[in-house]
Amino acid sequence: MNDEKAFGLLVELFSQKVYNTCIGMLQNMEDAQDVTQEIFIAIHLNCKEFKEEASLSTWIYRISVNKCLEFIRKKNRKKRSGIFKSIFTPTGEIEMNNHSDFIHPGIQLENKERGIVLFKAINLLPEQQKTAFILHKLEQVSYNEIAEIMELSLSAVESLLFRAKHNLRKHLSVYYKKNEK
Amino acid sequence: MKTKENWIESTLNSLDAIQPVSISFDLKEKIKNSIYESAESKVSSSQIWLVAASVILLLSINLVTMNYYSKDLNKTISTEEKNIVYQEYFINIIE
Repeated sequence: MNDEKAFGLLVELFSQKVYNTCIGMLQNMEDAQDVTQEIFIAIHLNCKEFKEEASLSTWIYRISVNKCLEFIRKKNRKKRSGIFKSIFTPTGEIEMNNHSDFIHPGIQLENKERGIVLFKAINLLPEQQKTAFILHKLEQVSYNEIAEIMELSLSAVESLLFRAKHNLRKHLSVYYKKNEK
Repeated sequence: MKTKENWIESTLNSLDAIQPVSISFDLKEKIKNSIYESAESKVSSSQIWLVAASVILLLSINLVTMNYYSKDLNKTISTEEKNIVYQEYFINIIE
């Protein structure tokens, strides 16, 4: 099989997974499309580096997660200079209300409103917690595979997910209090 | 209190039945074509070495040539000849 055909097959097999990971991580459809494209270029350029120590899916997820985090950091760096002060409350906590509403296209209609709030809260999580949570909740990746993707131990992943859920509860509780009528 | 806990719980579970978003045909094609664009814009390491070698060769030729001509110039005009020129020039001025 030549390179062209192999790459075509790879796109057919993994583009949906990559695209959905990007949507969850970036919470912006246009950015997700751009980064998905970038990820496949990176896969093509680095395919020689793939060692069969991990499965192909794990390796592709790892590249996807890293590219998304890289994109988020770059975007945040640009934003930081202008709005640094405005996004912080006097207590130093970042507010959920400052994040734009993202409606995930795959979310069920009855969960739309809650989904928007949850995505805002997910955005406030630290990088690693956010990555583990998205992979687990949105992509249904097993704890073992998350550990391989993030190059962590299984117990570290369990701890990350536990802390992610704990922090989400905290953020949601604050949001509930503020928006209670 | 119970309402709040229920709300938090149902919000956390709102992603449970989420459906994967299907990728459009256009985006897939765009991705497939992107490798040609990246290959076109990519400069291979052999090309970089070739350009570097050419620059070094060009500079070396220039240096050798400059060195050769400067030696030749020193040979053609000896110090004696220079002295004669100076003497004649200063005599003319004094006169």
